[in-house]
Amino acid sequence: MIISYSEIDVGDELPLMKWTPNANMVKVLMNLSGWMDESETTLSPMSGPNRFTDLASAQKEGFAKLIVPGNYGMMAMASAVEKWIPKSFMSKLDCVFRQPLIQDVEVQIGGVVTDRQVEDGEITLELDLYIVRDDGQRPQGGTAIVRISK
Amino acid sequence: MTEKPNITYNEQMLNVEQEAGSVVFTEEIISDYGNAIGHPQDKSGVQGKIEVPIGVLNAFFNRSVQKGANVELEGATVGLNAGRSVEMFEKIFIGDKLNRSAIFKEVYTKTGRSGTMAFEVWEILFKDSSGKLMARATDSMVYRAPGKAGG
Repeated sequence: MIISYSEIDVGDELPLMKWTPNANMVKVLMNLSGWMDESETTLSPMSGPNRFTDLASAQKEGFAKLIVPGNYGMMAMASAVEKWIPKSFMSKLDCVFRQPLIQDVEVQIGGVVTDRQVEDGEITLELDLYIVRDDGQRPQGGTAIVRISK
Repeated sequence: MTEKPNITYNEQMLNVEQEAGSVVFTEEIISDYGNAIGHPQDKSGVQGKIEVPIGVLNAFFNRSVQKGANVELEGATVGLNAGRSVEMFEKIFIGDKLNRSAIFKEVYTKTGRSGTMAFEVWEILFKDSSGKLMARATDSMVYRAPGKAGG
């Protein structure tokens, strides 16, 4: 059991976080990105019906159901780390989107610490992060760098 | 023998930095993000300043600022995000206003069993009013025929 953040070490695992992306979440985040604003003079490529908001559009592109924008999985990864180490600063986050995430399908987010450095009292952790489905497949994987100050 | 993929794009746009407006990181943005992602954000802050999490930046690194590359790969009708890397060089706080720009960096192809895919790579930058680089995303889109993996 970890007593304090300063004790987090290589090999420690991020507690698995359950996450179910749904249509409302997609809509709110797309709105933040300006994708839902059809009043813009230049519409974004994702304005109007698309694979995230319209089933027929998703099916036309070969998806059985509505999918989730890939970068929202990154947001969930960041969130899982922030819940584990709340007073930290994530300076880098990268992710490869291998397979789509499906709306209303629960996944879990996990990770492991792969490196730990201490300099001037500041701890820098590197983590491998992943999203795992019920069938064990990992549609997204990435890494993060997190700094914990004294 | 491998056939050369039939791909076109606007080479004149390569490495051109395009301004893409500014973003003010408001408390409302942070709240909307936190509530949507299922992790309401801590509003206590440090010395009265509330940090903007890296995930929020991610919402503003998006396709709407990636204009003019005009990548066309024969047979590819679907464009999906293939991957992304986000770096924050400095902490960003609620109330900060940052200028956004986008640079079309490269196009390359990969051919496998399922055919050829084209990858379009962009950098999206956030700078403060003095021009200091605060954050950068490297974003990769893949173009392919419908019905294959991607996100």
